[in-house]
Amino acid sequence: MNGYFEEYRKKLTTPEKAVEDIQDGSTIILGMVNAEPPALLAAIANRARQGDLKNINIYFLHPAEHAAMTILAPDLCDCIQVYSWFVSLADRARVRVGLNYFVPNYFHQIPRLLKDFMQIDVTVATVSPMDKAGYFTFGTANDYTSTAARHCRKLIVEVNEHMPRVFGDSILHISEVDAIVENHIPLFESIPAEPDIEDENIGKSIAEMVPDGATIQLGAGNVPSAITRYLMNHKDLGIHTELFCPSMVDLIEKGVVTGRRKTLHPRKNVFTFARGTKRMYEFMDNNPTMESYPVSYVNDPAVIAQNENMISINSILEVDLLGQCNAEFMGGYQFSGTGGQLDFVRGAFDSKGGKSILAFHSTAKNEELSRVVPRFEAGTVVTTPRMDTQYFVTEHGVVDLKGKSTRERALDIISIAHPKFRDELMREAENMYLL
Amino acid sequence: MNIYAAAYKQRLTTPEKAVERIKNGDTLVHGATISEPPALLAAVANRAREGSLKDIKVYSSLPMEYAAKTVLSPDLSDCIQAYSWFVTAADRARVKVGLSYYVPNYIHQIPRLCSDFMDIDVVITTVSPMDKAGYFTFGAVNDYTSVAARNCRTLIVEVNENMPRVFGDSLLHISEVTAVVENHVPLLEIISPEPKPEDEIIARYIAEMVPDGATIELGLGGIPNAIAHLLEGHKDLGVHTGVFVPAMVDLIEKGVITSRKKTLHPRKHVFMVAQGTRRMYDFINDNPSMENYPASYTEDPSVIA
Repeated sequence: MNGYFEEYRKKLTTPEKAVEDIQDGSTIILGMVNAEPPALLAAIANRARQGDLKNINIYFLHPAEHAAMTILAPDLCDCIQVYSWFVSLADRARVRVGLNYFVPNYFHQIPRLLKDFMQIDVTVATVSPMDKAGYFTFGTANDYTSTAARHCRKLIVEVNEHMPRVFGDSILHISEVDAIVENHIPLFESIPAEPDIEDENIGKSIAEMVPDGATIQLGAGNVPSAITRYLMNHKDLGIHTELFCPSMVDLIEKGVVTGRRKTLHPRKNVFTFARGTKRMYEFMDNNPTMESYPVSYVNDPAVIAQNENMISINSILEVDLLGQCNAEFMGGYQFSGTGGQLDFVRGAFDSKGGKSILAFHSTAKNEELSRVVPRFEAGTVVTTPRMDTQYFVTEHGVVDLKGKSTRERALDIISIAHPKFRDELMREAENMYLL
Repeated sequence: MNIYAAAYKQRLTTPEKAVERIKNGDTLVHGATISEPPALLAAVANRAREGSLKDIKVYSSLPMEYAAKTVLSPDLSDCIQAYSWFVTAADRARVKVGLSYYVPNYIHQIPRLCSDFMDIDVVITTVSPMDKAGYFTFGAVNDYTSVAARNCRTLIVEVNENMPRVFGDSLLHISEVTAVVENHVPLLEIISPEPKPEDEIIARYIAEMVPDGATIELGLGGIPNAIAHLLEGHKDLGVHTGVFVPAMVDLIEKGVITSRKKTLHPRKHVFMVAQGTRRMYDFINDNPSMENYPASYTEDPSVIA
């Protein structure tokens, strides 16, 4: 196996040298979230700051801290044009003022955008250390990162021993890599907040909708952790999810999630990216049940649907009386992105025995604002159209809109709004000729 | 992860104690070829020899020396009726005289025979050591062993640290195991014969028929070895095979086999069983490009196609 280590040594270099031959006008793709390579990003930002790099296009989804501190620095916006597939805290303000461009997408289509609709010059990503067989792994970030790495002119990896070794379609051979840098810093931790009373109510309702043997997908947020608490007596659940998160580790360790009744990838916890705690990253490392695949696979509705009893759980910002919802716009601006919501809503509905659930608190801003609204503000985008929405859950109950008329939908949705807004919503529904 | 270590300790026992669970009239399936568990097979044979086990049915495929020296021993044929899904030197004479019964089958259907058409009481097989997540793997041998292990009343595993850790559908969780014994003997090595001159001639014809980027399956014997040598100038070949053999390791290490162009399981060398040298077993161990699956998958003509 010595051949692989020799090749590794030959490709090992410093961040400065590794980014030296990035040309003006290049298109660069960054690994996602924990796969953002801090040393390489700093080296790129330094070159730009020294005036040595121009007309660079950089693409990413949900930028995190390392991108924020380097290539997203406002003083570099003349040399680096940033494109975002999903807006986060790190670039929300920039997108709002037009410094960053937002690229609308379905998450599962990004790998195809990369392969068939873009020309990628350079991909930079953090990977787990090379093993004796010559393989790195994409660790927490398969998503679009693996596809970008396999379809670019130059691939530079930042090896971090904290990045877990993950199986599935996550392996990258030394022969595919152009340059290597090493930088062993701890991964970001994202600790879920403690669920509040509304989360608990929502969690309890949803847990009752999950049969034993179901395969689940949980989105980000507090509701998923609340649901987990109420799933502790369930049996033989499985995981097929976009995001792998810490509450899933609890379910696996308690023996609630076994994956044994999964109809696709039995016994395997399938995900496309992971974000959570150090304990979770350690759990994932070298664990043969943990398999990541590109998002073009994991989030493909036709693939999701192959899991019988697929239960998808996602959150939204607001729903209108027509039953369509918005999960990405706030106050007239791009707040986040479409992500995989619609992918999973469609896949779960098409699964035999499956359910798609959209969960939300009935109010925002200390009960000042209703999240059930008569109609969206002009310009707000729809994340999940009314033809797709199925279950909605708030702390006030559960409704199923599938197959219902516009009248029934409006009444159902109003029934899970906060009581203090219901009269007004009824009046609006009448004005809209819905009742 | 201590819960898994505790569960392991609780199940760890001696071969003699482990096979005490076997009852008269039981149907027993043992791991095939490299996964024949020597200590457990010896303990079963001992019980039969002492007269404390009767009317046992034992199913084997490609029995090898551990089965031959224990459950297939002629003096036990009154207590142990052997059934064979694939006859080898170990049971050829027995099948010929009617001591062992041959069961006609397609190899890809054996897992279904195990899960839907048989009532398996006990499975004994060799597995790789348990990892921190509580998983053993079926190692070199998946074929029907994994399916039998998941569809029986009592599963006894013989942990052997020489058994490679293999990915794919090869996992077995400690919670699925009834009893564990440990026995770290070297794995059986199966050395392919050197190619004969006529093998070389045949191989040359075949190598010319293999395009770059093709996915190959090689059986056992001299011809596959000869073919492998002649494929060294090829590019991006892939592996989807019943048997994984040492010649394939050479082609992987030379960069001829990458499996990158495969249309099913790209980047993965997919196999059902691996038989070969110690060097090959070491290569397979903990190698994320090596994946095995049950025969019902790897040998299913519609999957192969």
